Amino acid sequence: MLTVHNLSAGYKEHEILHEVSLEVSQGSVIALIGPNGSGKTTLIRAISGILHPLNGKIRYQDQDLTKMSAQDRSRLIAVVPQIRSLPPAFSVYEVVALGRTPHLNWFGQTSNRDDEIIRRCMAQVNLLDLADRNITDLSGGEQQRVLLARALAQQTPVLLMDEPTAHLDLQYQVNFLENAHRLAHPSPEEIESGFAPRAVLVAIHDLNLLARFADQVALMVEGKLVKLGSPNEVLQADILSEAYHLPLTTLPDPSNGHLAIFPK
Amino acid sequence: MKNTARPFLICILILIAAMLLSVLVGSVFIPLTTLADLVKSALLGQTSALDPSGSFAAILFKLRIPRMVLLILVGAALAGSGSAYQGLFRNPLADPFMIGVSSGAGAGAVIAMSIQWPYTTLGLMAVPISAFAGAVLAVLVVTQLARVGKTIPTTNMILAGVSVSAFASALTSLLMINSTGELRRAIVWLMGGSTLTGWNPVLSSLPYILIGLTVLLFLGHPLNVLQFGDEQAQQLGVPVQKVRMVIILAATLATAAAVANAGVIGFVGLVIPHVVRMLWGGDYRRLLPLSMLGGASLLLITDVVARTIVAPQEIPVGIITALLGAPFFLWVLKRTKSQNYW
Amino acid sequence: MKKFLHVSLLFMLLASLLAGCAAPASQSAEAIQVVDGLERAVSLDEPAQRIVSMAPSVTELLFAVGAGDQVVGRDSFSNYPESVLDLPDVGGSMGDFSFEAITSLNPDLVIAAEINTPEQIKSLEDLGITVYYLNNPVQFDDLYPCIETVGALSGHEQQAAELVDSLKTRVEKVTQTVAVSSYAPVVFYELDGSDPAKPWTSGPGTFMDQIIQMAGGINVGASMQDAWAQISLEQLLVADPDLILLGDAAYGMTPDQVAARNGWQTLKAIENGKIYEFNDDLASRPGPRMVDGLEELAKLIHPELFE
Repeated sequence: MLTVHNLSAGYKEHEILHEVSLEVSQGSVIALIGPNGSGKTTLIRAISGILHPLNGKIRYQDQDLTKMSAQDRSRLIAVVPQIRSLPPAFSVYEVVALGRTPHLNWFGQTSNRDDEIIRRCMAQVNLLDLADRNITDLSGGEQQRVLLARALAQQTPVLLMDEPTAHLDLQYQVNFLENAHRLAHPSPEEIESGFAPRAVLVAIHDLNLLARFADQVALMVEGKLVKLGSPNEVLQADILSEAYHLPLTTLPDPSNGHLAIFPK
Repeated sequence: MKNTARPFLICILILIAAMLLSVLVGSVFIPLTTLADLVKSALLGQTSALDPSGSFAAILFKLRIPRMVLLILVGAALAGSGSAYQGLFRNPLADPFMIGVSSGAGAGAVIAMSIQWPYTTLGLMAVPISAFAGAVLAVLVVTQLARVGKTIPTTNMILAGVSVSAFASALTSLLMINSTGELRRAIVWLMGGSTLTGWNPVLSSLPYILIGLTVLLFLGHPLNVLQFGDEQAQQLGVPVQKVRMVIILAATLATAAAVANAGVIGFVGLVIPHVVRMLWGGDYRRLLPLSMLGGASLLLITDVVARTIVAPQEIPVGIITALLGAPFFLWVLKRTKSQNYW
Repeated sequence: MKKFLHVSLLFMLLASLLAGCAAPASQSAEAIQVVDGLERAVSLDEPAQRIVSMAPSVTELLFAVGAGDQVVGRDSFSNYPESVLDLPDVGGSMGDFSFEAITSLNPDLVIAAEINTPEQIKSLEDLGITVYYLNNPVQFDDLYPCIETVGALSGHEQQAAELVDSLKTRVEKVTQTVAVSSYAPVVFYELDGSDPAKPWTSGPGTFMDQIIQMAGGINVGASMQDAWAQISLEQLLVADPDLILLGDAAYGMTPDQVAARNGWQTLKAIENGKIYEFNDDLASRPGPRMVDGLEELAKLIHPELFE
């Protein structure tokens, strides 16, 4: 379980996160929402060690993440970033293999077991056919899956995802989020083959897909965590309207009860 | 398995051929049989029958062989550092001189040249020592200028490197304009080519280049990870700031020693990494050692040309590396089918 | 009669004994031990027979003292006397010498000058070659010790001494002739006129400066700061020299080109057509030809005294 307690973080003159407290347990997915600048990315950066906290604690079980070396932390926390500029000279296999770095020596030598893990992670996101393709030749959706596979190869109990669906077509968005859900809720066969349920935190823009995959929703506004609860609890018109400074309406999908949100 | 060994075999073979060329060719062509006899005689402590006056032996053991060793060290240092910087700065235009090493060395050398040193061992080492000091000082200034808190952002470093280089170059030009007799000496030094013969330059550069390059060879995998940016590398467990500082330190040591003893030889550090990349991919665990081998070979070959093309004149090597290197690079570029080699 | 015979026999015996003492000294070659311009100890078992010259001034000195046959190699810039062009070239024009070429010539002495760098001297030392570093003369009179040194190193002391005497006589003649005149023409010596608005000239302390004075003239460049001095056209117009000498004639500068330069027409030297080409080697190379240069210069400056 990942515990964030009273975390304040930001830059010297400018605090972005104010006393955020949050828990992410194994086997659950929390969607992190909020307008731009609310601190979603900052939170992810603080947890993954890019940003030093000004105050507060970040723990996994009872280990203090802020006092760890980069290598130790990277065995607990893996991040799926957005697909910005990707270096062109890597094949899909090579990119996913980089995910094993926390477990390898200085020369990055991979053993047979590492190779198995890499292939399994690629299989999990349906990338085995594309193993030798150059990563820049792939579509946006495929690229994002590569980065997910890389994070999976790190074999960490916690996965953080920073707006992973930002540049994807709708079909790929849904596809990806279903993958994310399965990471926290693996099928019985997956559990039997040794896959442990992850703790997943996903920063996401699109409010309408949340209910499909998130167990909990955390709403951030101006650096504070203003509401944490189930999707139905958080996705209330009045709460969201205040957060996004826009009158919003919610409408449940009659088939499954999932809420759709749109401006009035 | 075969695939991993092949590039190394090819590069080593090319290097051996270049070494032979460097030793056999010059103002006097020493045939292979004579070479073998000379080496055998030297090992036995005798004079060779094929070389009664001893001038072949002097040429071979006091001129060509030390020069060959020096050029191998320098070529490896320049190409190895060049490829490390291209990876570190994620910039295909990076070369070993990016953060001020060559202009700092040039300023140091020219300052030393404007003083009349006594003709002693130390006095003769004044120019290389001063050049080395200038190079290291320039990089120190650049890292301090670029520093933000505990980190040294890449963009800052490049900008600081450009500024410090410009300043040092201007200082060098000023000194050169004010000098009269030393002008020639300074120009030749700045164009690159070993001005000290014999084993001294080899011995004074060997420790720095060996240490620097060995350290770099250990950083191939972290460099691969760094291609995805500092943040992602950190999140994958690489201690980014430490790795960057070590790369800069190691590359600076090797390059400063190379430039201090052989002058400013351009192009090798920029182009060899690209050629290796185009042929054998951008995995830095291979790119670094293969670049070192390639840089050594290129420098040996261009030096042979520099020594023979208008004999008995010896053109500064730096001129030939650019004159020959550019067309060679363009030829390799044209032959490469891959668009995604960088 | 007998007494005379005995005395003369004794005398001849004594004379032959004395001759015997002197004989060994003149028959065996003298070992040479000197200190060169870099304060290095240089020793030769006998005067050098296979000499490589690393500077054109050294080459001229060697040939002038009669050691031309002992020169086995020379630098690229050596071009006087013409026969040196047939000697092996050991490099030096593009910056570095071919030490291989020097080694192959098996020299017993290499003579270097200030044009050569300490690194080059060291490289030769490391190859086991004896090197003598000849300091450039600073004053005109410093030329004579240079000639004597080169004579000693090559075993031509006699010829060197005679050369020095004849040069001194010629210099004396010139200085005495021009001393008669009370009028010292102003001379502008151009080293480089590629920028006509700011030409380069010989400043104070240079050989040309000294030679102009010895030839009874006044050097425009004497009022400048540096040895290699740049003068503006304005300053030149104020100085208004009586003569203009083109030291850059070797690079193609002609009096006609100078006369056509913008703004130069008001100079009296141009109005009177007193622009002359001059072989700069005669004044810039520290060798015996400097005296030739002095004589030529004196004739140009005081033609009336040298009919």
